[in-house]
Amino acid sequence: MEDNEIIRLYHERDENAIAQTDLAHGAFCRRLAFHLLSNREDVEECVNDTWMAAWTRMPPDWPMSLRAFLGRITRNLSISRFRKNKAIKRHAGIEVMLSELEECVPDSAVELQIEQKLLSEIISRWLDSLNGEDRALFIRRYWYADTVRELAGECGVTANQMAKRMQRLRESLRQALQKEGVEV
Amino acid sequence: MNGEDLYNGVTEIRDDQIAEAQNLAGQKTARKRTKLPRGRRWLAPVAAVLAVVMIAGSFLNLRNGSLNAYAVSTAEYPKQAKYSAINDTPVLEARQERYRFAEIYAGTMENFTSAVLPGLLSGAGTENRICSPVNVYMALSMLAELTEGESQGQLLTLLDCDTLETVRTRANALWNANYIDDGTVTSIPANSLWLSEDLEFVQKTLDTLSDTYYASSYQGKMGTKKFDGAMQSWIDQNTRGRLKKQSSRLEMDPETILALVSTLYYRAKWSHEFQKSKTSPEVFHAPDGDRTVDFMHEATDSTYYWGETFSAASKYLRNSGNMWFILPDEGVSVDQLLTDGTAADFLNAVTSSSADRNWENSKYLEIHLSLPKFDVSSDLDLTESLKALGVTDVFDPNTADFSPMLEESSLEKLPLPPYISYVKHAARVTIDEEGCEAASYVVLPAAGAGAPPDDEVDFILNRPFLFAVTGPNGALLFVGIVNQP
Repeated sequence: MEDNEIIRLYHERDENAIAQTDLAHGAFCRRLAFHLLSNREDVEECVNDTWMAAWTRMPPDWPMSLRAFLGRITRNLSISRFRKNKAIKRHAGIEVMLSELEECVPDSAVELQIEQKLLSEIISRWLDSLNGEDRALFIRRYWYADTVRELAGECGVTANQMAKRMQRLRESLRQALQKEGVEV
Repeated sequence: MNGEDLYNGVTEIRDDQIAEAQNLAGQKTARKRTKLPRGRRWLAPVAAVLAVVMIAGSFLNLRNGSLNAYAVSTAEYPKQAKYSAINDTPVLEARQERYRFAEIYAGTMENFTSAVLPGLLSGAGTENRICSPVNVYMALSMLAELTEGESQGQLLTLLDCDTLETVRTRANALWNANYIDDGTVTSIPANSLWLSEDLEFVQKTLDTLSDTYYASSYQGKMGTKKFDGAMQSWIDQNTRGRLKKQSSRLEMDPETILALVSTLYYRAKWSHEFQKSKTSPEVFHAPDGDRTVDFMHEATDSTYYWGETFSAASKYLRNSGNMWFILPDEGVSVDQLLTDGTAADFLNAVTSSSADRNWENSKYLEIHLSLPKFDVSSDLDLTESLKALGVTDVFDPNTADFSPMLEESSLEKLPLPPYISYVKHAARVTIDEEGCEAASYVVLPAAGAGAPPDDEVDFILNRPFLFAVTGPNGALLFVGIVNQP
């Protein structure tokens, strides 16, 4: 079913909307949640919560991209769940990703509170400045939460080479953030 | 700032970047991101203006005063955040707020729609005809505020409300649910009153109109070019100049005591735009003969509807509602669909915001849509239509009761009690698309008689058809007949 038709079902309060969403985007959301949470039980709960959040937000929302909309909800729910799980020290892919992203924070900006919207705009602009492959690699790693190994396989390089490339991209983002005045 | 801030920042990057990254292999050769084209084609700068003019017979004691219009009561519109991202909190909150307002009038507009559509639209002959049910509802609601007794009773019956309080609640909700100015969709209902400076109006009534209906009131010297000009400018401003031709013809007589003007301007993008390269000149079978016009084409998976005498489909408007197209079967006229209630029943069924929204005969399939580009407008006098709908007293000086509007001292000054001289309703709808290519002509399959179509259907609007534009919460903003695209 086309995304717009699925959204239409939500707006008509038709519960078939959830089944159709699961059919069209379930695999994508489960994969994303699994990469972030690394635990099947957490993944199922997170995906179910994603469907519930979508049901609550549509209407009034009418997302332009349903996949991006659902992915954002899954990411937000995953980080909340990660915070909760952290107390019981459950290992998760998200932890690795967060520690990698820590490297992008300019030294002088550690204490800085930055508005999320502004930060997203800076990141989007920086992504625009990259070549297509680098941009896709960064988003696949840090938005879709694909593993370095998976990306290496897809690009036909070793995991070590891919890790180095990711490191260069993180350094580039760190410099961009610094240049944009995030360190002020 | 920490890693989690960056995680959240990455979460909210742009949709197109997320979509593009899915195809990693396709990016290997791409050196520079190609920006997605921003949609420039807009459906429908659409606008409507409805003016109700009340005239008392010529009256004396005209004061020598200023020619300027001055505001005696000014409505303040709620502030709206501009759209910047899909999950932008203020924009989301505004949408949720609109949804809450729409729930207030959900399921209450059906009787009004069924009553007014045949009366306002049928009998167009070979001309185009458009009306805005939302606009008419707002104007009649304001009129109910200005009247009392049977004059008000007749209006309440047509508005399907028991009390004036219900009218206020619904009209206010209707306004708030359909007022959108967030940068992606523009939907602006606007109301105003134009008052003779020679009379004293009841301030409390003007305040209610301002607070509940967001109507500003202006006073000035009737019958002067300056006051007419002020009103025309107000209309042009609130309809973004889309009805200049109609507004320039609006002139008040010196005897006019009050003019009530209600406008609705609407503009939204198609959710999926038509490809310019697929537009081609084709024949439209107008009532007064065939003509060649540009047709836009697309194939899309969507819901196709049909009834005994018509077929229908809709096209989404980004961040808004739908545009509906209702095509009578061969041998069936648009008027027939209006007068036998089919059109209103269908529109009520598919646009209802209640949970039981449904139309039995529908199927999700591939629709090959052929839609003529059109820019249609009409300028109607609704007086006779409203009389036929039972609103008669306000048009007769012997029965009209406008006591909540004027102070007693002013009422006594008038040689004749105030009454409505005419109700004007102008509207225009445009579908904006450019370019043309080779011509083709496809015959419409028989879609009626309850026979479900196969997996694909050609939906070709090449003869007179009905259209409707609905807002994000299903309100019928515009309904019209296209006889001459």
